[in-house]
Amino acid sequence: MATILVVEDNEMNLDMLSRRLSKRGHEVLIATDGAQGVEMAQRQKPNLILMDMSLPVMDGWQATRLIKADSSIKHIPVIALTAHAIAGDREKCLAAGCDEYETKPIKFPELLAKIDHFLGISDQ
Amino acid sequence: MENPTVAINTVWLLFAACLVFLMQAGFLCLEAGLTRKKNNINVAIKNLADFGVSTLCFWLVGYGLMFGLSGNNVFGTSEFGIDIGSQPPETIAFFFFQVMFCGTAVTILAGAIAERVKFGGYLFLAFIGATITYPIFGHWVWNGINIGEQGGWLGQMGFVDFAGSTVVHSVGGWISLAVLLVVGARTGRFPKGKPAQRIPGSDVPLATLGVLILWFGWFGFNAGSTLGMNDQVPRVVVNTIIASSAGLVGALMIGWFIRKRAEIDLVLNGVLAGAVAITANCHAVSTSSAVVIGVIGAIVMLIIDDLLIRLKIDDAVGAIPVHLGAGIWGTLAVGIFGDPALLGTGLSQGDQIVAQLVGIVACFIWTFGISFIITHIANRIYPLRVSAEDEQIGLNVSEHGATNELLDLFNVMEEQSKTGNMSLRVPIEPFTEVGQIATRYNFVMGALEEAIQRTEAIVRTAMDGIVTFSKDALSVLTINPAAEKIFGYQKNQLAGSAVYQLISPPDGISPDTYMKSVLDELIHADNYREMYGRRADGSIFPLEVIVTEVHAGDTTFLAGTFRDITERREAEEAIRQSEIRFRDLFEKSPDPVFVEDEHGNILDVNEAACHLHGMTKAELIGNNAMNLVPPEKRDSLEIKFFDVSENKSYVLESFSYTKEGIAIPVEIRANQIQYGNESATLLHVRDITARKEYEAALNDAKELAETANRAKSAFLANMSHELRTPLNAIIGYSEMLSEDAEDFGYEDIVPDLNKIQSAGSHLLDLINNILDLSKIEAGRMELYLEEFNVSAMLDNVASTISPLMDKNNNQFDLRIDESVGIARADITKTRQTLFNLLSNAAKFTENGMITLLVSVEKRDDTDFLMFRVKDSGIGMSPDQVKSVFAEFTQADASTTRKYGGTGLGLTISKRFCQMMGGDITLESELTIGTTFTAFFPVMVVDTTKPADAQLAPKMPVDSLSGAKTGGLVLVIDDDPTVRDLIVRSLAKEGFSVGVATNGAEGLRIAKELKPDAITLDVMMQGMDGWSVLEQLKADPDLMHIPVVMISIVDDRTRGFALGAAGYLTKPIDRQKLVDTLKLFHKKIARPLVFGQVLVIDDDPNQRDMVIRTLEKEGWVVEEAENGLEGLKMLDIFAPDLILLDLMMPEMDGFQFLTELQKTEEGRAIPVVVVTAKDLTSEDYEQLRGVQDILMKSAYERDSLLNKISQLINAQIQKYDDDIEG
Repeated sequence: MATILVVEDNEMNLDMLSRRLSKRGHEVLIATDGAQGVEMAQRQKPNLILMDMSLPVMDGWQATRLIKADSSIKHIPVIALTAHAIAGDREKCLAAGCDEYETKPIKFPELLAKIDHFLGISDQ
Repeated sequence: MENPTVAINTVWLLFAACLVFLMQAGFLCLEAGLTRKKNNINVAIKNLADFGVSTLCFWLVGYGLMFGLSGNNVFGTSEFGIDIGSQPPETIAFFFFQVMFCGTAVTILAGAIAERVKFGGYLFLAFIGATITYPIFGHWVWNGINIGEQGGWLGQMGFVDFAGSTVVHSVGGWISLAVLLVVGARTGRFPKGKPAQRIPGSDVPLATLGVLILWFGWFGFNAGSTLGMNDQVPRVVVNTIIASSAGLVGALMIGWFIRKRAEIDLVLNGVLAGAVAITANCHAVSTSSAVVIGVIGAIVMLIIDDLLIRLKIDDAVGAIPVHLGAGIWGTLAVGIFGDPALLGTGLSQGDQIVAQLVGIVACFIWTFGISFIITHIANRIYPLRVSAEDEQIGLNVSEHGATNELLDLFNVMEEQSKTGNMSLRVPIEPFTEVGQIATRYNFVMGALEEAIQRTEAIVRTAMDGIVTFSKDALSVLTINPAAEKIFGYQKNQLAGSAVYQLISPPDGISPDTYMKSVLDELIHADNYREMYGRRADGSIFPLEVIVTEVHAGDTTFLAGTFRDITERREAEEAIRQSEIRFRDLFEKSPDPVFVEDEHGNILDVNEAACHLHGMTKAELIGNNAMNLVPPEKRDSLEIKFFDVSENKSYVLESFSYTKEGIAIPVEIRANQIQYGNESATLLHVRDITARKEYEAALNDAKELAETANRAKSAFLANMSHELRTPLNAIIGYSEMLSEDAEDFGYEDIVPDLNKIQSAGSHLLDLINNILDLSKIEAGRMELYLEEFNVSAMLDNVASTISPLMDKNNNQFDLRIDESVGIARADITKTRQTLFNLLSNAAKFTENGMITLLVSVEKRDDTDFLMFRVKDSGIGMSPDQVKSVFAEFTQADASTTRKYGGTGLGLTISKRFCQMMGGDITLESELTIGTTFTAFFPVMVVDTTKPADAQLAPKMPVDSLSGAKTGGLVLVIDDDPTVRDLIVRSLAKEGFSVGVATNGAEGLRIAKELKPDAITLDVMMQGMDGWSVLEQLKADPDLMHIPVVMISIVDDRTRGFALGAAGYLTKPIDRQKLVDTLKLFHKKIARPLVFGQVLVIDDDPNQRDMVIRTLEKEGWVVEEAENGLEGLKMLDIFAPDLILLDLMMPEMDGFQFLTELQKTEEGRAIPVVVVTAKDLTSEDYEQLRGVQDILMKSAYERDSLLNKISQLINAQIQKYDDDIEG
């Protein structure tokens, strides 16, 4: 399957998400803050990044901007995965460079579909 | 007559008799001359007539009585009616002479009683005198003188009366006195309480002539008494003339001395008195005695004359003083001055005097006695006197019908004086003096009549009432029609009544007392006095009165002018009331009101205005409005003396200043008004202090509310975030556990895990609903309209809802009408709405039937999609129906406990439908069930956005990455949201963007970056946008940078005044922002690498549609209408993709492709063919190099965009790989 970087500071969510993704056969990389996420992305070049937005050290928006500004990794689809679910949040995430946006609590099947969508494209 | 002596004597006697006859003429002239003209004919006729009467009577009776045989010494008894012709000549002459004497004696009466006695009465008196009175007394004195014997008793006694001082003159005088005592004085001779009035004679020269004739006749009278031409004659003549002259001179001198004037009667009567006095003794006195006798005769005459006046005995010609007075004196003088020898009576002087006295007394007794008795008796039987009227008219007319022109004049005058008839005119006798007078009199009367007519016309037609009334009785004399009308009386009703009944006195005073008390003041006032009048019907009304005193001849009366001023009073009162009313409206207006002229000078103010300024009216009126403003404030005050024209009212807000200079915010309404003859401005000033305070409070409240709203939004966002995070774990873990449980065979715990998951899901719904609601409330929820198949959507909903239906053992029936097909709406919201309604129905129904009826119905020309959700559940009461759509409300509190739910579902669903132009309605009945109907147009139109902007972007936007060729824009805004929005918008358009979060930072960054343009928020914390703009424009390095101001408030004037290049209002229209910035910066170009498309198509509509679709998605598009143009475009434009039509003029798509693939760069550009052509295998062969072929008829916008996006992404990937590679 694919390598997915999950950038998430909430332990439970991180644990839950990584376990569910692993169960689906994905290799899950973990970062607990934005800076770490960018570094992991640059180093590991995952196939896809699931990015929480409210993160310590560096927030998800900034991290996404850096990822998208880095030509070596900017092609990696970033799916914003956030509890910021009110009007405008989606746009903010997309404006920061995220390729998709999914709100928490995660509707897991939808998330999987999106992941598959992006992975499918990059497979092409 | 053989005897010469007898002949001579006879001749003399006849001659003397003729002279005496001439005395008749003298008497006529004298008496007619001394009486008034109206009686002169009567007097003359009497003189003539009495002579005839007396002559006949004397012949028939008197001569016999006087000279007949005297058997008794008292009267004669023979010779009555004798045949004169048979007598001897001397006897005839004697008879003739005696006839004359009788006539003389009688005629004296005519003068004395002239102007009052009837002609017939006089003739009767003349008849008595000539028949009895004179002859009897004559018998006593003179009987026998013709034969030289004394037959009468007086003659025998020695009484001497030579020519008749007593016999003729005294007898005439006594008769006159007796008659005068009976008939009385002429009217007006002795007026009551006034001195005797002299009645002047009409023709004095005639009277004078009469005296001369008398005097001349007197020679015959006296000298004839000798009865012969003897020695006595000369002496008699001389004595007569001397005594007469002495009488004349004596009377003149004495009378002159006494009366201070030489009056005519002194001369006339003086002569006669002298003549009468000498008559008795002229034959026997010396010349000197004659003088004395004459003078004394005159004196006696004067005394008697005076005595008569004292006794009020009116002797018209002075006959009594002359004939009686001087006659008695002359008779007495015989004894005093007579030469006894010559007298020949043989009596001593004393005896002679006694004899003379006896004769005088006898004369009185007989003559006066018989005359008085007869006259008295006769007067009883037949009044001798004429009526007062006749006396007034004159005896000429009344006795004889004799008239003259003067009389006519008098008659008319009298008539006029009596009747006041001014139309009468005097007949004019031409060529006479009276005729002249009459002519002038007629002129005067004409003028007078005209004047009176004119005056009368004025009085008659005057509007004022004019009343004349007597001064003493105040009774109305005349009244004009206006007065009758004013006081409401009938014509002539008021004449004679008291004038004060027209006046209404003050209470407690009687009208007459009041009238009298004010009359004097009224008369002397020079103007009208106001009083109250009383009409005939008793009504009282205001009156103006003026009274004048009029003197006309002897009479005085008052003339009052009365003016009814009721209407004037009413009008004055009405004006006064109106004035008070309007004054009150003005004064009591709670708003200050000013009237100002065009220069701002205050003409009038009301009380509120005084109160506003804390000034008195006197201080305000006349002052200029500008003076009310403190000098230092005048420039800033926006009171202009506006051009208030044509009834337009102006309203402006300004400040009023109190006396202490405190500013009060006011609203001023100005209207143009007419003020007198001037045009003025009416200013209504309203103190808007309270309003201003309210406005400020309202603003604060609004700020507060907005702040609160922002806080609420922030809170909601935070809450949402904080809830979602743990929910994520809950739901995630429960799902995971559930999966694991199934996988690892712990099915028994799966339901429990599902419950956790379900609870989590409910919580999530709650959160979502709350957020939805707040979004709707903030008006921020957007519609995502798309076309979809309604049936498909409904199948999806039905399958989703079926577990819920099963839960309460409900049957679910979905019925879709044939008319339902494709709809354009927000499918998510539609689905959510239906899910809401159905889950509610399922929740509140057990073992029942739930039906969803879907149909299309036409309402107002629009097709509506109708969703009817009908259940057979518990239903709702009307009260519950009312509140069911309210937020967080369920049918009742117990519902929540039993059925759960957030209470927001219906509210949100209803709003969703309303957003789409529809609504949700419901019908419900308790225990029967409820039907909800959700509806909206089949083709929903989003009215909140332009039609083009309704498609949600489906492509990821990545315009922020990559290099920019556009200019550098600095965004200065303290609101991160806005800032981000602007940044993204600009970035997408290819701008490089710098940001600053406040003014100071903005200035600093601007100096660092020297951007090509700046967007500047006006409302910022700390330094606001205006200050930043000022400083930017003050800095030489920065001043050229165009600044676009961005603000909530539209104050572009100020912005441009401060040097801003552009001005935009929030919410920001992205396109406008970009356009504005592009205007100011030419360097701004397109994004370099991504999203540049060249569209080559000959159909402009097709081209346009594609271009707009792409541009909306952020692509930069250039166009060409054929292949040739497309090639040319490639020289200046490097597209990432070419959309190519095949069938085109000039150069078609195939040829273009051939040309394109000739170059390296050309081959690198992917080409998508978009065509409607049915392609042959040859065509496909030709198009082998192109990326894709889309058929025009088939392609959908989305798939086109998807294709383009994929192609470009691939291109980018390839590009990146190339770089990496």
